Amino acid sequence: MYLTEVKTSDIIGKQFRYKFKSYIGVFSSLVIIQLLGLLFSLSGSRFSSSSAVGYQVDVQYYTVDIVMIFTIFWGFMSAMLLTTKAYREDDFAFITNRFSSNLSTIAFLAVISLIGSLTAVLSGFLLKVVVYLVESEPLLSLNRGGIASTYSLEILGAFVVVFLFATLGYAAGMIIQLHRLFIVVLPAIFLGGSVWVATFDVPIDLFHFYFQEANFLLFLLKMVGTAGVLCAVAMLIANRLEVKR
Amino acid sequence: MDVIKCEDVTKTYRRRKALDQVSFSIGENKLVGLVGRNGAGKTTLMKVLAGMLRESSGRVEVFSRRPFNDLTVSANSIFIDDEMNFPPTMTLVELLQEGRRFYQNWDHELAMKLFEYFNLPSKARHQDLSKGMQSTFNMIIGLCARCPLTIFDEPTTGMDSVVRQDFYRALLKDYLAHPRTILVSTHYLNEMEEILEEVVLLDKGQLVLQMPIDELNEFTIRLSGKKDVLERWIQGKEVLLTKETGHDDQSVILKNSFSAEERQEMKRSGVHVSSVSASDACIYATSPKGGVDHVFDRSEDK
Repeated sequence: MYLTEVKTSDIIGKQFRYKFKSYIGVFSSLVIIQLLGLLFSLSGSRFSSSSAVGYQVDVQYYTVDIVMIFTIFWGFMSAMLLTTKAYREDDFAFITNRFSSNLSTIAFLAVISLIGSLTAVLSGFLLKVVVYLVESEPLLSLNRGGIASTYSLEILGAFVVVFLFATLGYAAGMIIQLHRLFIVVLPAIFLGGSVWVATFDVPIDLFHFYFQEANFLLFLLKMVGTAGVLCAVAMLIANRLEVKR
Repeated sequence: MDVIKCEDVTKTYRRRKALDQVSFSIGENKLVGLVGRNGAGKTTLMKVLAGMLRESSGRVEVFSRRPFNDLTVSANSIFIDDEMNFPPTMTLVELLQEGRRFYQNWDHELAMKLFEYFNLPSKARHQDLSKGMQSTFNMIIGLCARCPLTIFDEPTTGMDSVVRQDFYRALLKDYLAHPRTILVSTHYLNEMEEILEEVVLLDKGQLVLQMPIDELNEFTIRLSGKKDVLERWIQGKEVLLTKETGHDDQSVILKNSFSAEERQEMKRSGVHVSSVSASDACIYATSPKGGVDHVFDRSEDK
């Protein structure tokens, strides 16, 4: 009997393309959520005022921080959505095993995280244009000289954060697939953990550990490393999941 | 070489056993029917073979490999059922093109021809189709993938009888042109009898029998005649069904273990001997004793 031999990498590539067509919905939600973020950003994200005798200076800051936060949330939710039965089992209509299916989904998550962060960072320009058109007060630009490399670094930084949260969503989603009860248990652990840290002054400061890292390379390493661990957890669980259909 | 080999395969859902120590094997290039009542474990067995479910115990081998999580098995087998999950964002034609990209032996020309023949709307999405059309589309994917192991679970769900007949023809023609192992579960064994070569019968998670369809046609026999005459013949035999047909007339169905001479003698003693079709044989071999009549029988002596 003649059996077709397939290469895992080949199948992963095919699944990756297939996923771009079948999960196209994540991009429309990205557009909607980022436009919404921009709308909120129009009111300015920070306001400072100083005054002395005879004059007062009001400074209104415009940033796309909200767009960034929305994008991170979008990454988390989209990844979680992909772990649900309907999406997870799409692969099983064609050639797949759990390993290739997961790797192609993770590759897909990486690419959409990159696209999401790219548009999030670039939406800053759009915001400036809109503010310029609607605001009558004088505008000062705080941009860092507009050097392409600064923007690339910004995009890279945004990308690893969005991707980290996407893998977090993916791992959490898989845990929930393992048993329904985790829908309640996971948030409970998360909230309980934060309360515990806060009330007993436990010296664990995740926020500090991840987001206040001064060394950019080290920051990247922490982000990517954690994302890798989360992917591994998700794959270990997914390897046991059956296709109920 | 056996394409499928199962040894004591058991699959447990929580506490319920869906498959209970099933052992059988299926050789290369056979068109096999998997039959059994509702809940007999047909779907579970097929999903285990397709690598979708993991067996609880026992050994499953497809192409001498364990199917769960095996990419080679997945590339060389396809599982078609009426709950196929296709992405709602893609049209039917796009899905066929995906099939072409994934499966090496895919016959796209045949796919498009069948697609046109069955009048499927090319711009439609899978979830918008009627049940019968979904089944038709799934069937096209299953046929055109040309996998060495093709598994159809209730492929005719929702199809009208014309489409069903067309499907049987298409299946047979494509099987003859490109021999491969095809496993079909069906509730319409009488319709498929002509094209199947072998039948595997499951009941309550256990294997009841596996035999060529010709043998199955001879497997059981129906005797009818006077009760006291029949008595002599059926004594000590395994009677599958007894039906009162008159005041003291009776019709019984039992395993055919009679020699030609015995049958001759029976006929001389006034017993009417008739054959039982394969599909009826499967029904009698797995139906509860007495049939549904028994449930409605309120007489004292039941």
